[in-house]
Amino acid sequence: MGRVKFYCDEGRCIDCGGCVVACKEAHEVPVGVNRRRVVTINEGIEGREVSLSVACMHCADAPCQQVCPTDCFYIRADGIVLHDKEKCIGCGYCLYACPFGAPQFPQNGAFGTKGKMDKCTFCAGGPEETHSEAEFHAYGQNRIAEGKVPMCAAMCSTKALLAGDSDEVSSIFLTRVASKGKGTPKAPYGWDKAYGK
Amino acid sequence: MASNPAMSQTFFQRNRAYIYTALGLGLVGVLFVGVLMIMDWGYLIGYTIHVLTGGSVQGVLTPPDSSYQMMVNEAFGPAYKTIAPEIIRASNERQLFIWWVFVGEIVIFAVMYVLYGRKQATVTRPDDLVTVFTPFQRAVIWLNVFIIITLVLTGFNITWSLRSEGGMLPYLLRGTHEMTGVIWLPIWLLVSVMTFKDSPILRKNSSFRFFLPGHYKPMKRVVWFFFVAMGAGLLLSGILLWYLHPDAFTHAQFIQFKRALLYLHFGASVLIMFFLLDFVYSVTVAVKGNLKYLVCGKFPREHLEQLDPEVLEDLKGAGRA
Amino acid sequence: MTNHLGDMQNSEAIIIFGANPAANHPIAMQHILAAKEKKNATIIVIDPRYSRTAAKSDIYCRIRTGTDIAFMYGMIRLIRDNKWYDKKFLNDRVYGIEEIFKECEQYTPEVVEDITGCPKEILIQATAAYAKAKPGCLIWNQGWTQHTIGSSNTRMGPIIQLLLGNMGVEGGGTNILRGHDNVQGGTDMGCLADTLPGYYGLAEGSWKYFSERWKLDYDWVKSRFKSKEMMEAKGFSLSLWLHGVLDEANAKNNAGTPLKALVCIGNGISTITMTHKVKEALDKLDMVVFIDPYVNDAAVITTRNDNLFLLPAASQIETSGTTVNTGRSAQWRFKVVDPLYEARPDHEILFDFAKRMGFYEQYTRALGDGKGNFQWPEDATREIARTLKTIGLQGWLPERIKAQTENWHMFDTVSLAGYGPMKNQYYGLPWPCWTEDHSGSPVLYNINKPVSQGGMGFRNRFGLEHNGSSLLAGAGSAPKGSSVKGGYPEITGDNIESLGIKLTDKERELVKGKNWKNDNSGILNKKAIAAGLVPYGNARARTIVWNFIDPVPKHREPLHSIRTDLIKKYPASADNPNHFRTAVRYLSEQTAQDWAKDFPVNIVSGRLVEHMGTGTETRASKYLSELAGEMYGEIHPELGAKLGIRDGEMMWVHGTAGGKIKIKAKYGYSVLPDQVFLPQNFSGMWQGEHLGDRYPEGTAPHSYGENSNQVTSYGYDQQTSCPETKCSLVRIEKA
Repeated sequence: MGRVKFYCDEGRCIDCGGCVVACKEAHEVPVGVNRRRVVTINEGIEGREVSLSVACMHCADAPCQQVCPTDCFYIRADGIVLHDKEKCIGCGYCLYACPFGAPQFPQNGAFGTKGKMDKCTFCAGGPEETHSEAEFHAYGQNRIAEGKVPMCAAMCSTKALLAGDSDEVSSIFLTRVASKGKGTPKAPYGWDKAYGK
Repeated sequence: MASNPAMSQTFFQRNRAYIYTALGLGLVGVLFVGVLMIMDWGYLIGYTIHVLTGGSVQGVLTPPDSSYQMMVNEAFGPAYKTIAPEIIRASNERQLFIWWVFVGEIVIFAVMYVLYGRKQATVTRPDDLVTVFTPFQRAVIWLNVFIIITLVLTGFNITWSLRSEGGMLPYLLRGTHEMTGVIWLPIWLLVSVMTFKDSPILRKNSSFRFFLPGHYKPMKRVVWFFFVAMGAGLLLSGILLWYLHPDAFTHAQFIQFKRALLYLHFGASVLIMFFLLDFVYSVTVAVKGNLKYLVCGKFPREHLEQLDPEVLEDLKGAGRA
Repeated sequence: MTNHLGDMQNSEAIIIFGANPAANHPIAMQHILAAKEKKNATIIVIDPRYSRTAAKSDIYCRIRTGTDIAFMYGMIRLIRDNKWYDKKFLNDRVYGIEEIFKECEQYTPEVVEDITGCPKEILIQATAAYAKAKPGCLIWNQGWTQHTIGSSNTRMGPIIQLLLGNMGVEGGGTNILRGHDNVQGGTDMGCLADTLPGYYGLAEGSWKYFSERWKLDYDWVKSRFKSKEMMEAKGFSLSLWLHGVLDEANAKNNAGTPLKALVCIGNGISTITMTHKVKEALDKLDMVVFIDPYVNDAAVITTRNDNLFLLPAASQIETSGTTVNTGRSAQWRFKVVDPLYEARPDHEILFDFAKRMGFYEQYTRALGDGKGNFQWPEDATREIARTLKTIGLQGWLPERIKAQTENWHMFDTVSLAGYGPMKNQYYGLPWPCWTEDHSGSPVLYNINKPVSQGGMGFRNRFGLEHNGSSLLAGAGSAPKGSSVKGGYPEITGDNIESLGIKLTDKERELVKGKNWKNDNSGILNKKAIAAGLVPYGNARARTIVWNFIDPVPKHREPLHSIRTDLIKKYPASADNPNHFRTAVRYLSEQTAQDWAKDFPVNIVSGRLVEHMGTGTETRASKYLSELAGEMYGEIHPELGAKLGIRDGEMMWVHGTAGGKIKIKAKYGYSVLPDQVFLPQNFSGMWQGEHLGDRYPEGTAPHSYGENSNQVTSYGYDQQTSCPETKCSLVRIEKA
């Protein structure tokens, strides 16, 4: 099995926010912390409006892992980038290093400043015991352990957002491009940064 | 070492304190910038001008030429590679090298100690004391000292937490660093006033006159100036970093600015450390007894007569000695 | 919907009028985008606002609100002149197209451009693209229905589809996307002012049929009403009830009395036009009851202090039963949790009402053994199957629906066809599902399939002939496998044998005097389907409705039109003294004053994807409130500059009916400079005042905003009384 990837099809994303809310409901993420978000550019301008859903891309050579001073990140064999909140000191270096703005910091942490970093886990929980209370509390559901795709992709109303094995994702991407039968396929947003060219 | 400004001295002799500082900073700068950092300087300069003239901190210097680029700008923030990779290295790799800066400085101090030794006044009348520092001045100085120590320790707690491996204590210390930094702002302002006591404006104004009697010697003045300047950089970047807390939806608008600020913070912290160590050396090692007198604020008259006659003159002029 | 959601993937072109599925029906959007991807379908969006759906379109036509009919006549004229229509389909299956062709004559592309504001080149481009693609699917929503001429809009769409032969084919049809998960079911069950369940109407025959099915004596049922006349008269509709309270003159239409009490079950009654009048009506009533899982925002809007009751109802996951989706498919909804707190399921509340009002025994007599022993909701589902023959619910037995729901992985998502044990069934048994073993009919009016597998022609509903022409379908247009090759009337006990079906004497006796709508023996249906005949006959679709105000659909300017100059040419219809028991103004309202002079900005109303209705339910979600927590009005920067309102500043919006709201201005390019987009999803603010403290403790939502319907104008559909929330004029001032 290859690595996991996220892919958001800008031809299909309609900015419904379903992924955002699905993620928050599934993991009981506090208000203000957005593991996933949807960005729309050129809103209302004819022919130029595009929407895209963004979260942690689980980069191949994850910059967050490289900069973390406490080395709290670890990359699973399937490419999912996770972190250990026990170790995290909330310094925010990963935020500066992340090309996608994925790391989130609750604002009610130490002395009313940033708390421990929170980010998309690809619904794979964290270092705590799988399906334990502690894991859910700190990282949310572990759907990967249950053999399910991440909540956001599962809930995506137009199936713009795909998550899973990169071969599978690529094959769906290619099928869509091929069935369209016209135009040149656009490289998926963010893949150059996340998974190299 | 009392310098008597005289026409007979060469330019080098008059300004050697500044020249040494410039050379030292140049060396550190070359090492810091050239070896330990990867940075698109053209972008950083352009960005700075853009922020100052345009007011936008988003960092889109050239308009996007494709919807892909526009989406990247809106979703992730522009020109990621120009500043961010520097931070990557700064955080993880430089932390392994940064202590060489201190090693280098300690070597310099060791050489100076061997060459010049410690100065000590001959005190025969230990009870003949002159109050040099008022309680307020002492409070400011010592608060400053404690805050700086806290900031240094908690700051390195962040950078060097590879050694502590994170956890609750470093997490709280990280929060302490941010809060202490905010508290430092008024103290730093008072220290700035002390620093510029030689300036004609403060000199003429008698209400400021009571601040730190005497004149700075060139080396000492450089140390004070840099402390204030780097402190300004640290405070500005630190407080902005702490205050600007963009959410996921405003992330792209601020992240480049925050990256630049963090860079400024790192640079300023490295430079201020250089002068802090120098200051510590000149106060505690180069002259014996300073520490004790700083605590109580009173110096033996003989000590001042032998080592700091100007201060004594000043105090006499003010009627305090 | 004549077709279903998955079927849109078979379309070669999709034309979307007055709908924004990207915001309102994201799941439907999935199928639309799949069609675009798989079939290279052209997506054409006609909307006054550049919506999220328009952003995904290939051709976008921006028209002025309320001018769809002119636009469509423009299309029809082009189709006629270029002979893009389906001649055989028109000949065999359509009645009255000549009159439509006559009416379209005046709508040249230039005239259409003048009325709608859409450049004629785009009209031609859109028409050509749509007419040439076969099949093409047409989608519409409240952008069509919520107009004084909404009923004409919704007739024009099918006319275009008939013209192009797009009816009764996979990938075609008229697909009206329903707003909630069970609106189709609610409508089927008769949540309307003018019909009994199953669209049986209110005539004596219908009441008698229902009395029999309910095991009640017709006279007893009649005795519950003030008079037989009132029993058979249309009631107050949702949009007009307030006039039955406020306007004493309407009492004469309502047996001499104004309305005195209101029981509101799960309805956002503040989403109709002129909410400030709704408030007045609520304040004036003797008693108001709200039955809702959340506090209905109308209960907060009213300032009455007494006789206001909030009964907490269970939500959909706390009850079970059938739910019907927009594609007429039923699914069993299983209960997930018991009702929380004091909430009770709707039926329990209603049973309690019936007990206290003394008719519980009659109310439940048709359930179970008739002695009060019944299983809820299965027995209710059986009663529905037993009763609603007009839309063919005979096959909707709880066992079948449950079995399908539990095995939903055994169905194809595009065709709905089942496989394995579910073979020969379509998912959800989309009605009509004529018999207990019928497959369901995923595509209405499809003659390419036998009736037993969901095929059918058009219903014979309006007689056998009109003005001398036959209304029955032409030769060769019967569903596959039909024993009659052309048209035939609806099946009755009297005509079934003349259609070549043999009955035994016993059967003949059973169906004597019955027709397919009230034959409880089921013999007519069974025999007809065995012979490949549709119980309701095989007739032509009519394009003219001789009993309507506009037999041929006509463009009429909105009551509050921004194009005052066009009112003379396209005036509103005459005032109606008894429209759902209410005297409704049309022409007199339109000409009462020069509205556009004082109110120069046109409202474009719509929904935000995060919220539902007035957001009673969705604003109670902290996450949805985080994403969309503030009411705003989107204006073009041009208009903002003209009015001196900057992006993010507050503004007052004044409506023609005297309402006003204070909202934030948001600059945007999706609207024109003479428009303001108002999302209809907020409430809890009232003309600048915060109503948060009026919520009972612990029930307050997470976000508040002005209710946009305070500034929508007076106006109701000339046939259906649907409120005019789309064409309203306002005046905007800086706050």
